[in-house]
Formats: sequence, C-alpha cells, structure tokens
Amino acid sequence: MAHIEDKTFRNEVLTVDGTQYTRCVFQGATLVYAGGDLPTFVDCRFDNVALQFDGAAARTVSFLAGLRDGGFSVAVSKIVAVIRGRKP
Amino acid sequence: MATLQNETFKNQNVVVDGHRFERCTFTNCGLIYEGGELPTFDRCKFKSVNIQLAGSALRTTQYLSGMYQGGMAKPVEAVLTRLETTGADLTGQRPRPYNPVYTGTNWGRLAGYSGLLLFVTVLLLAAFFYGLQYAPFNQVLRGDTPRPLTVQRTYNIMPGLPVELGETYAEITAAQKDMLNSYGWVDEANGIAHIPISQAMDLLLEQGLSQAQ
Repeated sequence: MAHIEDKTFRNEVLTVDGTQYTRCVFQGATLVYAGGDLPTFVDCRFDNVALQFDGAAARTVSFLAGLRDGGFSVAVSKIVAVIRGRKP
Repeated sequence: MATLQNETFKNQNVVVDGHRFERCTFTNCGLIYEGGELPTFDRCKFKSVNIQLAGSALRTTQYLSGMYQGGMAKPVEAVLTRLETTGADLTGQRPRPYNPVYTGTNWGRLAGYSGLLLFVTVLLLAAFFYGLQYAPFNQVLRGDTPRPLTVQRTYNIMPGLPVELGETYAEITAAQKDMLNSYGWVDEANGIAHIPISQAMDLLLEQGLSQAQ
C-alpha cells in the first residue's frame, strides 16, 4: 500500500485504490475508486470533493442500479441502508 | 459471456458475473456479484432470492460506507439517493467517446428518410413540369394592365410620312405617281407648270440641259 502524507490536492483527479493518506487536504478534488484495495484516510480534510467510480466499482454501481430497475428495489434499499450504517 | 437457457436453480448460490440468463428460474437462491462483467437476465423468474456482493463489489460498498462515516457523507449520500430513485448512470465517469463502430446502422430509419426524400423530389419535379406545360415562360400573363415590355410604342422613323391611321404606303405613292405623270401648275401666277416626267426626259435628251432649263 502506498503512503502519502501532509500533501494538499487541489482540483486534481486521484485514484485512491490501495493508498493511505495521512494528514492530507483535498480541495475541489475528485476521488476515483476502481474496486481495488480499500484506501485509508488518517486525519485528512475534505473540501468540496467529488466521488467517481471506475472499473469493478463502476460495474458494481451499475449492477445495483440495474437491480433497482429490475424489481429488486427492496434488496438495493437494504444494501444502501447498510452503507449508511443503519439497520436494513 | 456465457449463456444459460431454460435452467432451473434451486437452493444454491449462483455467481452471476459474466453470464447471460435466458428463461431461467431461480428459487431460494443467492445471486452473488463480484464486480466482474455485468450479468443479464432475460425472461427469468425469481422466487425467494437474495443479493450478495463479494470481491470488488463488496469492497465498493465498504468504501462507500467508510467514506460516509468518515466525513464524506454528502457526496456519498448523493450517490445513494440517486441509486435509490433512478436507474441513471451513477459512476460519474465521462461518457465513452463516440465510436461509429459500436453504433450500428439503422436500416429502417435510413429507408424511411430515403423514401421521404424520393417522394419530395418526385413531387417537386411533377410540379415543375406541370407548371411548364400549362404556364410556359413565353405566355403573357393576363391582366387589366399590360406588362411594361408589351406596351405599344410608336416610333416616327420617317418624319415625311403621315402618322394618321388609314393612309397606307400605296395610297401615298399613288398620289405621287399621279403628279409625276400628269400636267399641272406648280406656280400659275409665274407661269410655272409641270409635265409628265417621261416627256421631260425626252425633251432633255433632245434639246440638252441648257435648252430644257
């Protein structure tokens, strides 16, 4: 896992898979997750950050959207509830 | 992509990545998606199935959960809200650049447009030839006032001739011929008369120019 410390990312597009960020600042940045190793953020600050998905992560989001349209909205709602930290 | 047709899955877990299911039946099954190639379900039946995520797909939900809990609730919530309410693209990716190889050809629409164009062309040609036949270019349009180019203009190119109607060239020359071939007074007071021109020409030849004068 890569380590990045005390860095400021301003208006950049970053792929965050498998990276540990420590005391970093993200201003106007776009964080891209592709489904790889989970990134970690330690004592970081986020300001006006956008999320994007690529690869397997993008396909996962599309799969869930397709389930919702295909009559599995209840299942999708349960997964969303787990993400929010609520009981499904 | 592997295609499964008319299969029945019962009391089992099925990994669905990269599969196309046609007219399959799933009863009391777990459908597992791992983040691979998206599966498709065509005319399938589902009874008591649950959705399970594994591998990259599971990590994706864990990533979203971690970001949501770690101070990125707002952007994550935007993704989740759209996921619950619409089936629109939520990946946030840029659209794939246009590539004509993947668009295919809509022969039906092409035929329709071609037919319409042909019909309009035939219509215009028919209108053109119809107009040409019944209203040729050299036909003067009827109206109360004549067109400027067709107004009768009188040009007095021979001022000696009278312009009154009725006097023809034959009548005028006939009067002149009568005068040339007859006797008459030119100036009676001074004794000047005129004789027929043929006689005058004979006198001229006989007596010469000085005598004739």
